[in-house]
Amino acid sequence: MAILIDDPRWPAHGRLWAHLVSDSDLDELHAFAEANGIPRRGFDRDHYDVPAEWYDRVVAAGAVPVSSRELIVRLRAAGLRRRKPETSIEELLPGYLEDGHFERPASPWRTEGLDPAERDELRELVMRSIHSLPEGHRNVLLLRDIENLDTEEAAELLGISPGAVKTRLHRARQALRELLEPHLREGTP
Amino acid sequence: MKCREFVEFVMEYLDGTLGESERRVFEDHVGLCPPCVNYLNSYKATIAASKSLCDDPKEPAEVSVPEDLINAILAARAKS
Repeated sequence: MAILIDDPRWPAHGRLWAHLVSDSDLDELHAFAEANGIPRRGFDRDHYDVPAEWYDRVVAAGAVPVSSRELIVRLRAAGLRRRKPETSIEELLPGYLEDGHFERPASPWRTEGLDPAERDELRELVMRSIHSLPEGHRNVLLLRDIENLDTEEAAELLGISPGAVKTRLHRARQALRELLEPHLREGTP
Repeated sequence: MKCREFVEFVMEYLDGTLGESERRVFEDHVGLCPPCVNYLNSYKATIAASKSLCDDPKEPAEVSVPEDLINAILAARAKS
């Protein structure tokens, strides 16, 4: 029976945001939000997005600070987790002109020489982008590129063929690249 | 080769599994097409960025691997 808030470190719209949830019911969450001036438009499926500058005030009002992982675990345990409808992988792949050239030619990226704050920001961006991949593709990318399993191990765990692992991995990487490109191309602040 | 085919071959090229003739066509295209050079480099940077999520000792990969998948990984590792 608690209102939980994670660290305000999720970038969007030029600001950092925290997630505010209830681990028991949505009525409790909406009542807390209303009592603390958090507008209803900040509610997204299962949580409120709370800007970083409100964090201290919301904690002082009784929200319990927890890690993002604990917040998700308790939200799931309460049966209140509501995932975003999945985007099709096709929508995230590069587009091509009729002659086979890129619709939007790829740009050089700025990923070297980042300062620690920029590295943290990149890490958050990559995590968010991986989360937004369709589940079947996300799982393959997690197992191959993060858990470092080989193709056969990933295929066995997921109950799919090694060929399907390779196809999904390549598509997941392409999609992730498309999601990162607007943030990482040279000249992006 | 067009950019569309180039992208299809990127993973196999990086894995070193492209046949000799395909690899030559692929590398010829890279020499002629700056957007594909950028694509190849950013594809590699994308892989590196995913892998780097495991490198932070204070906060290992906080991407949520589904719990049943974690259990399956643990079971597979226990067996090996």
